[in-house]
Amino acid sequence: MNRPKARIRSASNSGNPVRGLLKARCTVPRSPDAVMRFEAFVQSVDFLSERERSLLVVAGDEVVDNLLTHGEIGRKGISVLLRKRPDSLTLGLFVQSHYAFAQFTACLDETPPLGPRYNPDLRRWHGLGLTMCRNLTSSISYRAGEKLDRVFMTFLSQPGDGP
Amino acid sequence: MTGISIENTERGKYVVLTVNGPINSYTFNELQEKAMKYAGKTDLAIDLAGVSSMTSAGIGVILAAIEDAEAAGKRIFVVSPSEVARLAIESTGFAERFPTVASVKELPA
Repeated sequence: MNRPKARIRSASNSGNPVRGLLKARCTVPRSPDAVMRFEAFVQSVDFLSERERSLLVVAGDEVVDNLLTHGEIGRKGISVLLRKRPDSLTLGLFVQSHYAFAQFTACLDETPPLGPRYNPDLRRWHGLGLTMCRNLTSSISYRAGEKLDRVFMTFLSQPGDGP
Repeated sequence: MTGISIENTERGKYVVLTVNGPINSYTFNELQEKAMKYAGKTDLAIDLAGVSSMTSAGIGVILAAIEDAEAAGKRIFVVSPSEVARLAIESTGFAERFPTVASVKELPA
């Protein structure tokens, strides 16, 4: 499998006035191995701690997996942006807008999720992924747009997470 | 390429499913098939030491297997979850629902 190239940039070294801001970007193509490609990107970013990598793999995989299975990812795939500040790490995921995502966000606005529940008839759990992402992040937002749908997840830094 | 492999072996009264690779929407069917084959019919251990990632699809399969095992009065354990598997389980908010042992040697006889 080809590893997606991470474009890594230190804003503090590039004239950006925001001190200590590190960024990395990649595009995950529309394909069944998109989740694995996202993971490969996370592993390739050298400014992340092991704790942050694990958080990104679990929470990010969940969103990428759902975008693949519930929505339709446009031909441009998923744009991934990581921003690391001294106090937090933000993961942004951007895809071509899709009505399924808009329906999902409208649902969230109308009826906030109750938490995971088991449907014994279907032998399926519902709401697990939402709960997992909520518990792993300090904040998460889902924004449907006219051209792009966006998911932003923020993780608070801990001692040992590095710059 | 899915990247998942599941090996089943026997250890005492237990069937041990050893999972390697990612568990997500593209790979969970294989785990579901094997877990449903044994959960509730025999004592079952699911070794997650080699799991590289796990989404709610995988968590749901394991929870359903736990439901089946408990309903049938059979034992079920998660064995030695990898760091990401442990984090995925904890992130559900009900990690206590997952009976866990550190290695197959610690499975109750």
